[in-house]
Amino acid sequence: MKIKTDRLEEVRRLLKEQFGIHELPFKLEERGKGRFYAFTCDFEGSHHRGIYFGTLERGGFRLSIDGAALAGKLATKNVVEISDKEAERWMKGEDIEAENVGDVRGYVLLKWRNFFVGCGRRDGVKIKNFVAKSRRIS
Amino acid sequence: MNAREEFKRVNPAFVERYDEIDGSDEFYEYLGRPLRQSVRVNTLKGDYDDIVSLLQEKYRLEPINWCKEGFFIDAAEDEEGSEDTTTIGNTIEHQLGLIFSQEAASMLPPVILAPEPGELILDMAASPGAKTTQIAQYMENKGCVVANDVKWERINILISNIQRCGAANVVVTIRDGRSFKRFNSKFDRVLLDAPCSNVGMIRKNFKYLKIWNEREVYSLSRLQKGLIMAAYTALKPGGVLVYSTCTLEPEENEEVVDYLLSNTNARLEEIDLPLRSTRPLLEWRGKRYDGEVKKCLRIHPQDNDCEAFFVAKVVKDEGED
Repeated sequence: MKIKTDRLEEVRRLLKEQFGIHELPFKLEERGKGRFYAFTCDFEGSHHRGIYFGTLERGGFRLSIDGAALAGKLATKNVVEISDKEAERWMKGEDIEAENVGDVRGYVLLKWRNFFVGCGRRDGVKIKNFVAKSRRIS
Repeated sequence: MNAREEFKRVNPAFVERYDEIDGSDEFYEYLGRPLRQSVRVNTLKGDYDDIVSLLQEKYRLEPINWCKEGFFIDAAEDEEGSEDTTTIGNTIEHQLGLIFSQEAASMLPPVILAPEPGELILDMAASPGAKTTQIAQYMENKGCVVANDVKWERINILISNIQRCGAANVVVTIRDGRSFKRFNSKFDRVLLDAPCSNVGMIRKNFKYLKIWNEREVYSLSRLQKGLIMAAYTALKPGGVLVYSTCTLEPEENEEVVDYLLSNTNARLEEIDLPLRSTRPLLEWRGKRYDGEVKKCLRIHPQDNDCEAFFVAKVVKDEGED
């Protein structure tokens, strides 16, 4: 139980450090392989609750595409705005350049117009794509 | 060959029965037409105006009168196995969960249920989750929606739609809906979009016409009566139960509501929405139904050029536990 609490604390710390997110309006829980889920309630005998929020990786916390939408509006840093063309490439599963964002490195949230389209990892040159195959366009 | 003749060729028993329910040429003509494509804007993923503006850049939208978030859209339809890259399912808006492809009439039950943020809602037969996610959206991701389905094989699609729509306030259960009767007076509102003979779905796929048979209607009617009694028991006194189907069978609609009225102190409420409907049946094959049944909404395909549908809004008696 202690380990679980520690890992939750780790996720909270990373959300604050990476994106400036201080508080979440939902609960988080880990369900194996570092995958964290966001939920607001439970019910007797439930099979599943909430949505997949993100994964705790060695290099930080990577939000899922839906986790980014849920938490994006609370983020105060490392939000990269992308163009229509870049959003289309991103949703096709391609890495994107997003050159005019300064020297941001590590996990970033991608914002297209007023929508959050996911979370990628920037190495200084490219933003690595993590959009699941089932969520890509062709 | 006119539409009625075509229906008769495919399933003569269906036409024999439906000539008694609505024998008009218009009825068969509309039931044979493909459905208009429609979507619901998902405000859990973005601001309503932002999403509508985005869609308007690419598509012609026609508002659906009875659902603010609903629009008919001139996009290509998704078909099973299709590799057409211009379909709704392959758009960025769909993949981000900004929109949900949903038939116009099926947007009615959550609108009539009118859930509030913070409430406890039961969606008794939830898969694939169009109405579940619409309910979650109206609740602004606050409170709790218990999305239940009895079939294991339908759970993955339900969970994946909940995920794509960002509905964090949904809990999925897998049980026979009738077992919810043990949660006596627990839920603020209950939606029972009952398993049915799917006559409304004929517009989506003609296989529903081919497989239709009267025996199945009677069997479904028995199941629906069990489900509606459990749904009503699980509802708090003063709470709202919405019963809906996508079929036009009197045994699955008026008769099920009549059964509830005969066995409880439930009362029906008028449904006041801007749409056309057909007068509910108060008598069918020798059976007379409670006069209150006239408050139900019976929608034939020609009424609004959408799926055939039936909806009843039930309120539980304050003194009933």
